[in-house]
Amino acid sequence: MRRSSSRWLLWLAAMGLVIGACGGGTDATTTTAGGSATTEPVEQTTTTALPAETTTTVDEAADYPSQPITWIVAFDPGGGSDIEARRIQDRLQEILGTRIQIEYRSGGGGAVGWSEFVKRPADGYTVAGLVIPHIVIQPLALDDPGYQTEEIRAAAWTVAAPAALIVANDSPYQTLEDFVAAAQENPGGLTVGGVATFSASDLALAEFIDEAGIEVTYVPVTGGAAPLISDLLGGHIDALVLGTSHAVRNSDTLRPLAIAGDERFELLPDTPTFSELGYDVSVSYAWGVGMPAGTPEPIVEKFGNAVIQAMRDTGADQAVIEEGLDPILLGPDQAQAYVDEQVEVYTELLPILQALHGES
Amino acid sequence: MEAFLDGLLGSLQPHLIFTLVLSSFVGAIVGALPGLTATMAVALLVPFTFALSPTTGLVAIVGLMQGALYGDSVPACLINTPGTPSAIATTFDGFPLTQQGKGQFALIASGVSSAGGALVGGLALLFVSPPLAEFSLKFGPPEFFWIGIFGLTMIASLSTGSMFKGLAGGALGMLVSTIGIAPAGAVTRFTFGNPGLQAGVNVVVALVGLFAVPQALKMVEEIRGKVQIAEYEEHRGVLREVLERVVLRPLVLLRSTLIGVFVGILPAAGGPIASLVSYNEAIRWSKNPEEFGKGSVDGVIAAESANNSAATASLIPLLTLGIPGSPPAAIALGALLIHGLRPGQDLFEFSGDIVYTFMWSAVWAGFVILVFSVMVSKYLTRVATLPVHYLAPAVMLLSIIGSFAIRNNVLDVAMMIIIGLVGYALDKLGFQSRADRPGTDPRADRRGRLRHLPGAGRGPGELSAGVLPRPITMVMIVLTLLSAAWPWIGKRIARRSGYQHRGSGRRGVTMDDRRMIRVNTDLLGGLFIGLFGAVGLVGSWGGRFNAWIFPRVNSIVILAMALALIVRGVVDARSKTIMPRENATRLVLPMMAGLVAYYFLFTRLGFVLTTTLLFGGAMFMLSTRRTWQRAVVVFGVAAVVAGFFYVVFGEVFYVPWPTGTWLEALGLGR
Repeated sequence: MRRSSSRWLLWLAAMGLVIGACGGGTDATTTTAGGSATTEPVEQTTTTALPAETTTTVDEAADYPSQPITWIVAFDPGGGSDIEARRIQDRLQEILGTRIQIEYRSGGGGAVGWSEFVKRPADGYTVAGLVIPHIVIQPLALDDPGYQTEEIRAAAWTVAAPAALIVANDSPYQTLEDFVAAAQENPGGLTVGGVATFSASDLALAEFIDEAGIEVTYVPVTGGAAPLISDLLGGHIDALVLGTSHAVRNSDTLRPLAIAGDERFELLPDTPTFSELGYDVSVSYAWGVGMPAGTPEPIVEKFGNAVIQAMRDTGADQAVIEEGLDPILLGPDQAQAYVDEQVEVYTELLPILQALHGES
Repeated sequence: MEAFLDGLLGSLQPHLIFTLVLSSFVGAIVGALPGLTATMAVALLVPFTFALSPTTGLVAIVGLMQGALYGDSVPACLINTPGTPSAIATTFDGFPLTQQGKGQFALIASGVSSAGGALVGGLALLFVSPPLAEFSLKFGPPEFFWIGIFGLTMIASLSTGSMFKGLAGGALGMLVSTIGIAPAGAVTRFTFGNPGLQAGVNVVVALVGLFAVPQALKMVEEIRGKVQIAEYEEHRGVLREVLERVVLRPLVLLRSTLIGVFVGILPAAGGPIASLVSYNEAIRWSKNPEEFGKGSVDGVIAAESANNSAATASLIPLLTLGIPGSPPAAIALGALLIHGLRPGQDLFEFSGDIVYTFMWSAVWAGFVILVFSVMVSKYLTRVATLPVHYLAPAVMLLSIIGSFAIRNNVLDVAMMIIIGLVGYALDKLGFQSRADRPGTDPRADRRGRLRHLPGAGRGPGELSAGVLPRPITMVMIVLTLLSAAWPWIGKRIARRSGYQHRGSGRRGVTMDDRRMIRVNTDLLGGLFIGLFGAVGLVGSWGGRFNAWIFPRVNSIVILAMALALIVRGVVDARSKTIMPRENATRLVLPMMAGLVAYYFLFTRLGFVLTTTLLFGGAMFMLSTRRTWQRAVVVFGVAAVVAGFFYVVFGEVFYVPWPTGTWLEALGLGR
């Protein structure tokens, strides 16, 4: 208690000052932050009620959490993984009655952070932001990723973004059929950009061209989505594969031709799914949180439920739709099954991709 | 137009001005600490952007960014260590100025040019965003390829000594940058079985190692002769002097800020590239190129103005197209999206007041920096007057803290130390270490631009088609050829104007030769760097062509240069004086051992105890009077410093300091 109040006092001293300058809205910020340290007892009771449905769990998780929880973000500050943690951090602190401390361990597309994460004690006090397909594909494709998918127990998946094939607004390809026809006419002549190799972009494109029986040239770009979108708008590539979120955010300039998954996306009502058009493409990004495998089930449940509750309480479950994300809100009882499903999908996909890249 | 003026008035609201001033101040502190970058400063704001009004959040982001890009020049000028990668080029002339006792002059020059950069960047953002954003889209893979090549030619003009050594150093830097997962294909390169190396060598870690460690060791080497880096004398009218210089010869500032704007609008380019290109151009356009690297104010102006204008310019593609040109811009995008604001035409139409307020604040940021730099430069300059036996260990401690804090990774500390020691050795062997710094920038290869060039040429075999008929590439090619040929052209011009190019021989060794370490630097240097080339070549042999061609070419370049050096060393066997033997064994070696010991004790004894012991020990060892009173003082100071960093970094930046496995085994810690 003394520790956490001294922490936020320091926060106030160093950063809060910057913010404190900004009038009305600010006071609200500082109060919430402070509230996390002071309003424990009330919140504690609300959460213990939640996992109580599963009867045996209460005892083991009764005094969890009794110390601050470290949340590893395996990417740089400000990235998607960071945003998903920050979005619910405040509310989650209130629900669990303890500090959530964000620790950045970036590098290797997340591999560095997750390898460190799985070595931490499985006591529920270290959690990590997870990203699909990264945590599935890295152990499958890399020689030595430093961790295995089975070493992670997913606790909750909060949001997802199906992969989408996107062209620029002024592109001659109005529909996916146009694109397929052009690719058939000029095999290998169309260039499709994506983020690096063995990534969601790469996988989704492989799945699609395998289904459609066409040939295109994949252009891997590193440095994230920004240089990729810029290449597309500048006419250097013909199309790109990214999550639906980018199609929504840049709807002035980008036109999604089709998205993966079974259902159309709420904010892109006119964009068909690949499967509607007869191509079975399933690749989707998803963001969530997990613990090292072996963490006692009651603890995983308590934490995972708290995450979902925090999403609902803050209204983030609605707000993310505006950002082009799908609030899937899979709690601890479904989270691991979701990963297992993905492992199956990607184990099937990988050979197709490796064949495309000319590897055995 | 209405929104434009509303924005002007809006940006002058007291709470926004206050936000700007305070965030610039915090940014400057973060920027001044080596290892903490502008991005990290901005990331601190992320949790607040959810609750703040979008305008306030965006203004704070601009303030932090600009503040950090001024702050990073402070250690660059004073202790030859760039605070962030953007200040690499600032060290080239900023530090020599400090050594000449003109530290305050350097700091104010950097403040004025940072302000100029922010101002021009801000005006570009306000008035010419749409055409610039359109222009940035014209940069496709072929253009980026040529930018990469152009960057490499800068090695030629930046290395003033031996060309063999310059090229070998540059190639070694690029070889190091290929460590980790290759951008194309899931191939891991040079990880030697350590998964931690998959993320590659972080550019900040490499820079801190390359600059700070050799600098600290050099201070130690000269400690007996020189008690401090520079004297400080109170000067009056420094600001006027700097302003006169800038106003009378505005070309340097103007050209550099424009270069900054153009580099800034390109996604994934950014501050370090902007300042290096601008520095390179400043040399080429200057009438006195020989002054650069020896304390030329123009060098400081060129570097510092370009990185600030690049930072603001990176917001141009963000606001107009929704493409964030830099990591801080990506965070700004997040701040917009959280409030349901989508960049692009709609943003200007429906939320013009927010956008213009933000843009105007970017202009004001320049003035804030100017005032700030003038106010604090006098006090900051005194850092250079600190006794070296405090300063050198402090620089090393800051490097360790910085390299750990960047990714909270102990392995980064190890890499920083190794790079630092190798960098020091190369420095001593006469490798122009500043020439391998552009090479360490990972963009040449890791950004993957080079790799997908063939993919972008339409159809097979059309590589040349992708390169030749495009107007921008033509300009890039001409610039590249000019830059590559510059050492020779420059020499011609210099000879004609009667200027003698700096020779490589060192003059006048007056000290007793038996007390000095003398080595054949060509022979030993060739053997030393050749070793890395050999490791690189063996490691990259076989494997997929695509993933290994870049490191293989670099290894071959290193080996070729090493061979040339060895031949030259054998044929023309000359030894050069390295340093007094006594200093090497009594001072430099123990300091190096201390660095390595720090790494081993760091995780075992924890941060506080290790720092107290080794930081205190280093200060004590370097002191001239080693009495027990002195011991109490230095270890006391070390303990306080350790506690300070433990608390501040641990609490504000959530840096998880190791608590010490040995202590935990004893039931202590936590």
